[in-house]
Amino acid sequence: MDSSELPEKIPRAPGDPPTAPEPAGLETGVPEGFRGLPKVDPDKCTLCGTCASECPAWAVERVQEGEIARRIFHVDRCIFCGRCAEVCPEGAVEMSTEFDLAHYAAEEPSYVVEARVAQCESCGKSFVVPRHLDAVGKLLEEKLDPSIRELVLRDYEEYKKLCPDCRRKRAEERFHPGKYEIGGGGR
Amino acid sequence: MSASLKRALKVYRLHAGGCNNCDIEILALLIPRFDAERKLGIEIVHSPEDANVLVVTGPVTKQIKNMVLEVYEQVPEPKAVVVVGTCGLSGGVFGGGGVENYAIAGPIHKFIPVDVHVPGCPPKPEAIMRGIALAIQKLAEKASAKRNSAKDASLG
Repeated sequence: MDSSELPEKIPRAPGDPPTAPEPAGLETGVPEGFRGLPKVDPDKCTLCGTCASECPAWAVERVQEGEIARRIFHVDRCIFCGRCAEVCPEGAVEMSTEFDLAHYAAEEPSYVVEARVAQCESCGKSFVVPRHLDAVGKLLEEKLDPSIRELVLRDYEEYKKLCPDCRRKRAEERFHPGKYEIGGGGR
Repeated sequence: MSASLKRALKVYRLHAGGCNNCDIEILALLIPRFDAERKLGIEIVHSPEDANVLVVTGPVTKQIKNMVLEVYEQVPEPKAVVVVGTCGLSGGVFGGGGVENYAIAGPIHKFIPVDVHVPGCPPKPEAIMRGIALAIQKLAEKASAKRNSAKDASLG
């Protein structure tokens, strides 16, 4: 670069102070598109776990204790990439502009979303949050071709009450009755 | 502030294998716009023996682990440790959430006691400034505890 291109002085607006006001940045705000702490709307969240499997920094933890399922969001692991907000099928995650997160090491902040889990109608195993099933049902209703919608939704009503293992068994019995020995092995 | 500090805050910055972005944000903290040297009275020192606050960035690679411990030993008591950036806090993309990584020995709280966490990837300079302000409080408490124990020893 030619030295004549360089400005003599870095220009700033008249009345604009050279130093940011105190506390710096908290009043001046953040630039457009700034990604701060992700915030989860606990009413919209169906605990599907998409954010947990997509998070590149393993910041969302999936926990299930008995009948309660939890998604724990660890602030100290988050890299603020916004992937969770991008993939969330319910649009429950939003990137806030909160960045003033310094804290004492003893007290790590974390956010928890929890919900009661439904039991399988056949074997009684806890497997999924009812809200998630409703969300999938709604999605099927919206996206399916009208010619097969009725059929699929009728099946869905039956299968959504079963855990994945029982669902597989039920389908097997229905399509190949008596052909295979059911049970054992599998997941 | 309940306890007072008798020395200026002298910061030694230690880079422990991160991507350097947090270090660039610490650098941004020292420019006239944020002016941490004037606002908080901190001073960057170039030897750990002169420091009382250690600012660490990066996930602590296996190569640099012993160097980190050596530097921590050299900082005189009372001292405070501020970890800046998600890598230093948990491992971040280099193995956060307890995921094993062949090259990483950290995160840093496995080896040395950490006082303040500043999450962010990288954190904004304002957040780092808040972290160092929290460290002042911690350091002042440690300094007054040390003074009191010295007084007790001289009396008893």
